Amino acid sequence: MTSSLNSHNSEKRPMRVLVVLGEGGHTTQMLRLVQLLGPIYDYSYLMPKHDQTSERKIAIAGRMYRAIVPRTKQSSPLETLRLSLLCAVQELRILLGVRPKAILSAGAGIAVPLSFFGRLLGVKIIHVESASRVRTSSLTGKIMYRIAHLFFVQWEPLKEKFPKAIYAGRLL
Amino acid sequence: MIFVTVGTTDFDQLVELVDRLAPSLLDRVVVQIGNGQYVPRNCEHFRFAPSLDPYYDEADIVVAHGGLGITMELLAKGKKSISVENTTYADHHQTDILRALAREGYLIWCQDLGELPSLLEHAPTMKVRPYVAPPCRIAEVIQGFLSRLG
Repeated sequence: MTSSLNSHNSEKRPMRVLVVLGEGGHTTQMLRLVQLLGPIYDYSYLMPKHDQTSERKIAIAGRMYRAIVPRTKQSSPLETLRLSLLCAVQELRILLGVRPKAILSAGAGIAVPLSFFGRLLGVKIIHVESASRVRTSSLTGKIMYRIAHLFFVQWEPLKEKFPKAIYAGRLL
Repeated sequence: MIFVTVGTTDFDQLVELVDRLAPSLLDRVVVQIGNGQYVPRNCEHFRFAPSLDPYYDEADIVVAHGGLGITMELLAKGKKSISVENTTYADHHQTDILRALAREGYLIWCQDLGELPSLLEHAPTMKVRPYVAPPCRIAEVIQGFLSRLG
């Protein structure tokens, strides 16, 4: 009896989780988290279009998606607006394709429009503020704090800025 | 050996300064210059390598750009490091973490490139504390949260 019950459980499809990678530190932290969560979920990954390094660091396989990133430093306000809208449209399309149960991010800016749409569609939003933030909040963090169902900070002093955040150690 | 690394960034100010200092330093200097424009004339250098581990292992001290990834990697390796803040970023996002880690004595923080010559001179006798990451329960909290969704 027990064995048939177990086999039934293992046949249950794993929960779909969409993981947002960024560049450098954001990817390192996110992939560390995926490693800790383990292969019990069905992962998809979203990363910036120009990001050359994130993909080959992925240890638990999943589908890959890319979105354009508005680089505000080099482009005019109008160009930034155009790229932001394009990014949002691409992310909405990815979201509707993947239909995840949860979205996981660690401070990359491309998580913002995705999480916003996700929230509207009933997806659970989980955000880990980057470990580079000890006392000061990032703009991404401030927005994600309003959108996320679960919001982690990786340094205790940052709870002054985000009182409802969870501190549960650091990924690095 | 002094190993200088900028990762995937470009940090010409750092590379140029190290190149200028190299002839007056007693140690051999190796610089990983990443996407920078400036090419050193007075020291060994390369752009990228499949792994920087052999260089870390050989180095007595690592001078690194202040990015989060490399900073924590060096702490995890227990390597004595000078973390050079790249103050050209508009948001100065490296300040917060480097200040916190330097206060705890885990690394040597170079907030201004002007301080680098004296830090390099004193680094051999400077003490750093081994970094121990606090236990991380983030994954468990998330697993608990997701399992309640059914």
